[in-house]
Amino acid sequence: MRLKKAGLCLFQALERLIGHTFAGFSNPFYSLGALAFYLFYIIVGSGIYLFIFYEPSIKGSFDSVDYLTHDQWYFGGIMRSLHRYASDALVLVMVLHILREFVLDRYRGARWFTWVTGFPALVLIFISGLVGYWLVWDTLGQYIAVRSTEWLDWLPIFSEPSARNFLTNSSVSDLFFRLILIGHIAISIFLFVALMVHVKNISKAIISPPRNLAVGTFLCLLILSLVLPAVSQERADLSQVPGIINIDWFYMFAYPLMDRWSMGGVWALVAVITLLLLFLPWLPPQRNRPVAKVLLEKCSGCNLCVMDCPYEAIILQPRTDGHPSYVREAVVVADNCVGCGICTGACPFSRPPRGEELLTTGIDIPSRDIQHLYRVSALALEALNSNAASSTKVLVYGCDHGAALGNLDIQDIAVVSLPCTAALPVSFIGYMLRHGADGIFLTGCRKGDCYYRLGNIWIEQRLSLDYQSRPHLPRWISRERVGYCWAGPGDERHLTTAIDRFQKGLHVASAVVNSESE
Amino acid sequence: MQIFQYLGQAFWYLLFIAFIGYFSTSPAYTFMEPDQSLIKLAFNHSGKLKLACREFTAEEQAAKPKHMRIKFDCPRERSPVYVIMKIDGKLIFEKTIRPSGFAKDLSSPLYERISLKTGQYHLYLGMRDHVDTEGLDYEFDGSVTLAASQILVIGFDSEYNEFTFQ
Repeated sequence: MRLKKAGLCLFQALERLIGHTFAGFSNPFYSLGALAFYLFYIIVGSGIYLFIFYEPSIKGSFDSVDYLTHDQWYFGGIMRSLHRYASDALVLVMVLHILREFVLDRYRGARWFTWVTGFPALVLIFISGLVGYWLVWDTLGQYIAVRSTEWLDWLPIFSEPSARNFLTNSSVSDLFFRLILIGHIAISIFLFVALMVHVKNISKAIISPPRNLAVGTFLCLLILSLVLPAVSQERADLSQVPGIINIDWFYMFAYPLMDRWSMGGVWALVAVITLLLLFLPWLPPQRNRPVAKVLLEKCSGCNLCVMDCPYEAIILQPRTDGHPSYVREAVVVADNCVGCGICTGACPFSRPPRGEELLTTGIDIPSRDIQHLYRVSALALEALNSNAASSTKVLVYGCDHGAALGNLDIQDIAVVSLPCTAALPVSFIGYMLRHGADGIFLTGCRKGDCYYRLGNIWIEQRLSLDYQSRPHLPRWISRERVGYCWAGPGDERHLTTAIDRFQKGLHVASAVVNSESE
Repeated sequence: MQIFQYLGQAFWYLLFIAFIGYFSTSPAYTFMEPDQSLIKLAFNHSGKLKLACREFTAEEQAAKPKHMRIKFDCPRERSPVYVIMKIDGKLIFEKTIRPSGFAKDLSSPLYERISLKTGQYHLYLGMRDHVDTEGLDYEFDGSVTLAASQILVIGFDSEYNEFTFQ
């Protein structure tokens, strides 16, 4: 637990530091998953080119790769280097992605499926990478082939040791290279399938990074390929021990352990890591996870909650209550629901009391329902209205995962925290403005890093004047009275400054209005 | 202000390039010192059948259904293979390898790595492949010279019943 907290502090500090130069979505830490996909595309693209020239035979394997590296350095060599460095970067990005999701506690509850299905992808990436090194058939390939098979032979699953296939140079045949080439390609196809399954429960999965980040990453790999081209080591010779080897630490960090420890020790390490990764979502399990509930009498089957749900947790099905006007109804897939409440914010029926009409919504989170939201908002408003003289009374809506709202030392504000700020129906903004608030200020996780993935994207769209197809803030509400600022944990000072600036703007606007009325 | 942002980005990108570029091949790993060599003792030898064939008795034959009556009972189980290796008179390796297969009727595979310093050694190898044998069935006693970084593969030729060196 302490380790997790320390990791969280480290990540937050790093992200804040990098955030000074990579703003919003461009922050690489917010696009690790998308970067992994992007690197996979580069690997596949460069791999297809290498495949055209690769000759799967004992002699041809080394010679064809060597030809690409030296004779065709201007393109083939670059492709080889891109293939190599993108694969290395993929491991780096993947490890950071796993660690980050862990420290941010984004792997338990309904998110277990995404976490667990990432594991096969992780294994396939390592197998594919290691098999790729065999294909070059230099001393590094020889080392990996021999040590990998010796490691596998430790398990009593083969009737005879597979390492015997690499005893002498005559033990290896051309067929072997054809087989591992097919294996390398097949694993990549399986990997693609595994990645698709990994993002299955994520709606609008971002599988390509922001353009500037994509261009920057590609240029980095290209520069690296030109400055430090990937080259083969000496041709493999099974009668000689590869003594000193330049191993790729991204893929082969465990190989030296095979020499230092025993093969059984490395198997034990792999088993522990495997079990830990697979069962982490239940260590401990997330209890009392709230699940959205559809209130059928107010559900029109409009599809807005389905579109905004970040976890594919809502589907539409034919109406079950025989409603005369509506043909479909929303149904919550409980296993996928994370209880963020974004659906409540998206529902056009979510609105505060209007005249005789009571507070309503079509979909709600039972533990923090719209009644609760209304109650805490009304209390906050009451507290604000107690200072009737002020013209900068601001009701701040934030989320449980962004900057700590309790630590804000600002006058004339009242704070309401939601599971996700996008759970706030826009109708509440108009209501609170009509009932005494001078301004409404929204805040939440850093842009691109919403705890529930899409919260701040939806809010910006709902506040936008151009946005018409979803619940949006009515045009008659002055945008000067509604502000927002994305601030994560540790960004409290930044948030304070933004709210302060917003309040000053409100003060100026009210002064202009007063002078005009005079 | 934007220039600082670009400079900052360049810094992080350079760090990324340096990290990937360095750990892609460095630091070099010494799998084996240059003055070391390796002996791989590896073969796949089938031990002799553990029990000889015997003729079924008349009572045994009578107890079987007619279509299953055969003259001889030939158990398929093979003897485990015992291997011993000494270098300069020192015991390096000694192992009894059970035959593989559920019925223990397949060969006994062996794969062992022995790392040694370069030089000349007196090598003694012995193997027994029948449970009834006292002592050893096959032996090698001689000297071998290991060159720097050499891998010497010692196998067993079951046709000629002798150890092989490659």
